[in-house]
Amino acid sequence: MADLRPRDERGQILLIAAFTLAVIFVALALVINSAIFTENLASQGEVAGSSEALTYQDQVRQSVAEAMAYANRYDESSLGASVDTIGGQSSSQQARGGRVIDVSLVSTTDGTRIADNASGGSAFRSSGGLSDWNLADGVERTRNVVVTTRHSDLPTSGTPFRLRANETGTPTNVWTMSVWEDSDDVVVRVNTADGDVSECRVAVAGAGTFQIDVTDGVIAGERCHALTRDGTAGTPMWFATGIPSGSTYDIEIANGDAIGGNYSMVVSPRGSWNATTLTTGSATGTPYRTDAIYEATVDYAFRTSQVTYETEIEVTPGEAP
Amino acid sequence: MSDRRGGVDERGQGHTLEAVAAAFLLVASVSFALQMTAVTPLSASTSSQHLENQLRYTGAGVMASVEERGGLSRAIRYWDESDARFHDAPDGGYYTADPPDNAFGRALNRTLDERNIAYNVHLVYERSSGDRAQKRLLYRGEPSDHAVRASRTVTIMDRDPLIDADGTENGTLTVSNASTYFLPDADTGGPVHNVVRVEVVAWRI
Amino acid sequence: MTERGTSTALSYVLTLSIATLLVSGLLFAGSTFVEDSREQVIRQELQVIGEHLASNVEQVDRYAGAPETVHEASLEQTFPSRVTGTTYDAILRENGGDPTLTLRATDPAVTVEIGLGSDVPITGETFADGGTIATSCEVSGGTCDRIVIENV
Repeated sequence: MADLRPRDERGQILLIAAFTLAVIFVALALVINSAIFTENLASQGEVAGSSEALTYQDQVRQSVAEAMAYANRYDESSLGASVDTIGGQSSSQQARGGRVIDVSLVSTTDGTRIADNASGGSAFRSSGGLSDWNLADGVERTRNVVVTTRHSDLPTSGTPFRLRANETGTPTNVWTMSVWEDSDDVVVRVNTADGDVSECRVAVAGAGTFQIDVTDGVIAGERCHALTRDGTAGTPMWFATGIPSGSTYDIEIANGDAIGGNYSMVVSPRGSWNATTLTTGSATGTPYRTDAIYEATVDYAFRTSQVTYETEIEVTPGEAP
Repeated sequence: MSDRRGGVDERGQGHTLEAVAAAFLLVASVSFALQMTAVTPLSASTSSQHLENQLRYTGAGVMASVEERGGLSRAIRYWDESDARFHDAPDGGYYTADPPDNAFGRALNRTLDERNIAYNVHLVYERSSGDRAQKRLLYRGEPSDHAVRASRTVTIMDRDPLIDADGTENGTLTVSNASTYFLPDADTGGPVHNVVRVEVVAWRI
Repeated sequence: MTERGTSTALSYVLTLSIATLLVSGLLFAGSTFVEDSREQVIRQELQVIGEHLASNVEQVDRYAGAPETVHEASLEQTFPSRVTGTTYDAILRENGGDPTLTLRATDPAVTVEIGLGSDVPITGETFADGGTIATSCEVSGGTCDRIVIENV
């Protein structure tokens, strides 16, 4: 009996130690569980729908731009109804994903569309036959300047075609774009009103028509850095760069009979078109102007249970930054 | 004597019980400790969370880059009026093995097919009564449990022309005067024809 | 017998005391190990939660920068209200031009700091407890003046 007693109590201490170690293990289990939960938390992406708010805003902008192009082409008063339809359908589609979308037209800025749509192309002369002439005076903003032409209709480097944005009242402050061809290449040189010069060459194959998108800086599908940002220093060369904001400018064409094709642009404000060189309506062959919407301001709201985002977006397709 | 025997017997049982309890406690704690490790969503497998996220953004990126040049809108209008289906689609009316021969189909092929990713493309739109309708553009089978979906909304206007098999715009047929075109005019009074949501469901095989 | 009794008592005391020392040493090491692990895990978890919150703040900044006029922009996310058994809180500070998000756990006191981009508009100090935290823009006149965090 005396032998067994110490052994009994020794076993009890070990048992107590085992119990305490077990409790420590349980605490360790809690800690390791938290570590695993942390790994799970780390793998979660962002809040559901947070980046959707921005990408969907971009899609709404594109849809409204399409509706605007349609309204400018066919029926200007239809823009409000189009935006309502876009908003209604978008919201019912997104509602199935637990999102509330609200799109509505707030206001529009009026502008004028100036174009020459002669089928088969024509020289860029005014309605009176002038080769150097003003399209518009007192322009504040311009968008979507597109020239469609062909190799056979381009001038040589001796008399390049020039499109100018000349600050009203300051004839020395002028942004110029010169276009000519050099064998198979189309050459575009830009002189900004700040004095920067840049030139780009794009090889265009074939005799078919191609587009020079002046405000976007794309020639026949290829980027032209002379119209966007100069390659080495990154200086901006966009349309009308160098004209101080707040001043208006005049849009001029020089050597218009050296080039043939079509062109189109939208300018704001509405009354800035030149009544002597342009006709009203859409008589083909002469450059004409029609009423157009320059910009649409749309109220866009995106809501989910976790995201609230409401803004006003301005839709101006084809405006240079 | 019998007391002593009984006493010895019970003491032995006590010891045995103690040993059994201690062993049980030890085994239970060891198995509990082993259960603390687990398979997490980040464990390497074909369905980890990172891969799913990446697949979703790849799908969204393909559609955004195609729509930059208007390719999605043209893919929706790539309709064969005489056959009453998409150009070169097999008899079911939707593509199966080969994606359509337009910019959208080529982009999907380049981005997804090369990486052993299967995909379905659905077009979701509304009828004039307000009901939701869905049409398959491309169907490759039932998606797995870990499929992801990326979607993009495109607006089609009433006077948008249909696209011919070679990619050029049809001179006469538009979405509103083509009699067999699948997309109804959701807003008969206004210029918008319909707002279509293009959904790409992708999964790894 | 009496000699065995004496040695038994001594061996009894010796064995017991050595066993106690060993066992208490084991327990002490074990609890220190658990405390250390706990602090490490708390730090990691605060880091993860802090990165989520910082990405929410930067997302709201993107919301504010994207369009021309902003009326409202806010993001809400539910985080666990306790990390490994202790509560925590988050402070969004301007820090003299270097905006920082600081997370502090209560017990054991662990602090984690996450830096944000220097052009994020944050002024002063805003404070939120662990749980559901909403990051939003204080809008005035169509622009986002400052980004704040708060509990909802």
